This record gives sequence, structure tokens and C-alpha cells, in this order.
Amino acid sequence: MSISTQISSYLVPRSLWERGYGSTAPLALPVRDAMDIERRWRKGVLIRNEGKRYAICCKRLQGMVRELAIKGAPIAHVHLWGADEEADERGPRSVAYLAAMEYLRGSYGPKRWDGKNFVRANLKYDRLEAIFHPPGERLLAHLQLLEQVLSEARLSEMCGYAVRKVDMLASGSVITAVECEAAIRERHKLIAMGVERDCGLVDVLDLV
Amino acid sequence: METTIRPELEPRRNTDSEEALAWVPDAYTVFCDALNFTSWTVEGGSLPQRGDWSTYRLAAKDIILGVVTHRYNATTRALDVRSYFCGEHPLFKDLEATRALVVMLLCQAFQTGNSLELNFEQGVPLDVRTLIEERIGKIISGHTSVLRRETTEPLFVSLSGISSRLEARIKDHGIGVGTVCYQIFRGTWTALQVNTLLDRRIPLAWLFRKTPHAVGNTVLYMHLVSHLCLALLEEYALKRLENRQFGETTSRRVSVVEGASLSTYVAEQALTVASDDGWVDIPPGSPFTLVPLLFHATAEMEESVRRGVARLRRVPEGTRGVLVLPMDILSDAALGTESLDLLKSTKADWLIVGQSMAQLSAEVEQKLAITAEQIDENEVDAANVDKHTD
Repeated sequence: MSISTQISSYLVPRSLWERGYGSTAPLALPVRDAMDIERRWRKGVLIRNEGKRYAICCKRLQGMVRELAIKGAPIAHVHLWGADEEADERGPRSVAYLAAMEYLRGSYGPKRWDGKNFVRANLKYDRLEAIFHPPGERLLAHLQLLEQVLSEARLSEMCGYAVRKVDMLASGSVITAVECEAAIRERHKLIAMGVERDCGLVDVLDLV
Repeated sequence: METTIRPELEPRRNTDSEEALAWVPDAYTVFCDALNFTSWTVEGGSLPQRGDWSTYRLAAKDIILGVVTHRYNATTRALDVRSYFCGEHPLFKDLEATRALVVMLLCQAFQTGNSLELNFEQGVPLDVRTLIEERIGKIISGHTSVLRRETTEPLFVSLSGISSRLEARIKDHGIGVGTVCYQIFRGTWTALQVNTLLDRRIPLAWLFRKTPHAVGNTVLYMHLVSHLCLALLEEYALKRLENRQFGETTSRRVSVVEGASLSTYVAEQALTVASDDGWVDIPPGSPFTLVPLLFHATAEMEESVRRGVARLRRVPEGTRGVLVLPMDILSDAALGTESLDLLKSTKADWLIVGQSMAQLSAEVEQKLAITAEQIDENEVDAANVDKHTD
């Protein structure tokens, strides 16, 4: 009965995102603050306690989404990434998703057109492992990135490398390259559904 | 402390051929000079910088157990100890004062230069050599003046009291045991918390080498912070169960069951809590585990309690589970009451600690900031300033 992380990914329709539900405020409020912090951070403006403020925004956002779910708000879809000790028959576990994201953030560079050639870019401006993605352009950009990852010819090799190298798995969690790849595919599927239904996405981390 | 310089005491001069190289003033003179010519006085002034000689006193209530004058040597990256006085007292165990002074010096050496080297200018004192022999079985010659890392690191680990199992687990993660010991002595993290994190499969590298960035690596950061909040919550629950009374030096002793598959504890005395904020009744010697609960929103409390109660049923046979909740459950009168009623109806052991989710998160943030400052060697070199004074 060890305690590990379970992630619930909520697809929240734009109407709920922007207007709230009952006494729950719109998610767009904390998101706006968080996005401002992200923008400053990406520009290299390092303000004291900015990381802490960002974490508070994210926690607030998670609380609001959970509140929406409990109040019975019309959330479009919830995907559950199972905890570490759960069998992976229900799909890839959260540990596989976290490992995949850690690998992509640290080692992946998508090929992008710089006007003359395709060059390997870094992911500085990609919100790869953000826990929220507002509906619209942001979610679409995330979808395009995942599509590019899935189109890589060496995807299986990349996943094999990820399960061997990432810190996430240094402490005894075991996943296979297949599960890691499945996690990326599952995430892509989820984001594609969000884009199609004009939703935003919020990941809520629970310890179970 | 008022001290007068005794003029009849001249600095000791070596009479052998090393005189030119090893001229060291008498320890008493060093200590007196440090007190009389310090830039820091009761009226104010400036604290000595790390390259300046500083005199530290070790005292327990009104008993002075030791005084040392030391400084960081940037050339050798060692801590020079120029004067060292240590006294035994019948109130304390043998070598207890020495243990405390050596811990103080090793922590200072680690904080100022990320090294664990000590240079006793007047030779390694006898009590320090005795302590080393007793703890790690290494005999140090009376002519030695420098204690290298090969000697001090195992000594540091031994003095920190971490188990050999935990030491092995830390090494498996590629983390210096010295780093973990320093943070334990400093009070940033406890051995129990480190053990809990390892049980939860949290990489120690995230804590002691490179923490995921809150903005750039959010999902991993949130994953880490959640587990750290849980570790703190458990620690507070254990403190509550130990029930140390104000002014008392002992409490109900709770210890970790070594080798158990999950963090399991046992107490020699019965652990009982019977109040509005807890119901625990654990007989002496009965192993128990903590099942902590965290909430994202107050509306979620009742559902969380239900999940927690379900988790209690998965606790291994022969082990009792204690549900641990943050104080938030008491903040919402209506929802909190429903959740408490639910808890009471289950007849399970449960405990509310005096910290809210926000307080736990703030504490984790601060502890991470303190740890991060010691991670970067250049940071240590550039500014040896303790920004988080206790």
C-alpha cells in the first residue's frame, strides 16, 4: 500500500473556463496570472518568489477544477492516469506520463523551419509539461508539438532511452518503453479531443 | 562573556625546526583576542565573514561545554580551527560535548566550502581522536592536524544517526551522504522524511541536486511538492503522537520499523489521543502506518475522507493505519462537520495536525529554497550568507 501519484486530466469546456460555474470563479482568472508569470520567466525576468506565486496559481486551479467536478459541472471528459502500483491494463500510468514529459523536456528538440532550413529547436517556448492548457491556440500548439513527437521515426528508441535515463525512474519505479510511448499517444489523443471540443485542459495530481 | 587577557601567557612558540612554518599562537590567546577584538559587540557592528576568525560557544542552558575559533580557508578549502576547548560535564554522556562541537565544525566546513576538511592548527585534540576511534574505528595520530574527507565523511554520517540501510539507499541515488547529513543537522529535512520520500520513489536528486523548476517543469515540480507536503504532514502527526510536554526532554518514543515495505512505526508506550481533533488508540509495540490525506478544495474533503478510509482497508495485516488530515478540515464549518462525523463513524484511528495545506506548502517552498542554496557550489563560494537564519 505505497502512496503514489495519480493524475486526473480534466477537459473543461470554454464556457466553464471563461465564465465559471455556480459559485466557482472562471478558471481564466488564475490562468491569466500564471500565464503572465510564464511569459516573464521565458523572457528571463526573474522576480523573487515568482515560482512560488506560479505554484499557488496552479494549486488554486486544481482546486477549482476539482470543485467543478464535485458540483457536477458539465466537464467534457476526465482521463485518469493510474497510480504507480496499479496494473497498466487500464492504460499507461501516471509515472509513465511523468517520465515521458521529463525526457521530452530534457532531451527532445523538434525540427523547425527557421526560414532557410529545418533546425533542431529547443522547447523553451513550448508548454510541454504545464499542468494546464487554455482552450484555443495554446492547446492547438501543444497538440502540434505532440504530433511532431509522434511523427519521429526514432520514437521507440527515444522512449527506450527515456526509461533508462530519467531521474523520475531512478528510485525504483519500473516502466517499459512501450508504456512510455503509450503515455505520449494517450496524451496526444486527449489533447486532440480537447481541441475538437474547444476545451481547456487541467491536470490534477492526487496522492493515493 | 567577560574575559581578561592574562599578560603572563605568551603565545606558545615551537622550538623545533618547524618554527617558521608552524608558529601558532596559544589557543587561550586566540580565544581571548577573538572576544576582545571582534567587530561584533553588544552595541552592534558587523558579523565576521567566512574568511575571518569566528568564535562559537557551545552551551546547554548555563553550562558552557565548548568554545572554538575557526575560519574558512579559501586556499585549502578547509576549515581552520585555531583554538578548541571542550569540557565534559556529568550531566551529559561521555564525549557528548565533543560530538556536538565536531558536528558544528563539520556543518560549518560543509556550508562554507562544500568540503568536510578540518585543519586543527594545534593538532587534532585527544577527545576528537577518541570520538573518531569510537565512532568509525579509525586511529588518528596525535601528530595529525588535518582531518581529510575520507575520515570526516563517515564520521559525519555516524554522528547524524542515519541507519546503514538509509545510507545505502541514499548512495544508490548518487547523492553524497554528507549533503543529506548536513541538511538533516541543519534541520531542513529529517532522516524520517528522507526515508519516507525514498519509500514513495521520489528521486533524491530532485531534492539535493536539481529541483524541477516550478514554471519550466510544472508537473514534476507539483509531483515533488505534493510528496514533500505529505512527508511534512506525517512528521507533524508523529510529533503529535509522541506528545512531548512543554519543559520535558523526553516523550513517547516512536521509531521506524526497519525493512518494512512501507513506512511503518512502532512505539514502546501506548499512543492515545482522544479529543475533538483526533482519536488514536494504539497499544504498546503495535506497528502502525500513517495514511495522510491532502485536499485540493474544501468541497473535496468528504470524498477524500472516504478514499482515506478505503485506503485504511489496504493496510497490511497486523499493522494499524492512522488517517492523518491537515487542519483545513476544521476550517469549513458545514463540510468539516460532515467529514468529521464520517471519520467518527468509521471507528478508525485518525488525527488532525495543526497545519493547513497552505502552511505545509509554504514550509515546503522554504525548505526547498534552503536546500537549493547549498546545491550550487558556486553559490556557496560566491556568498556564504545564511539567508534563512533559524
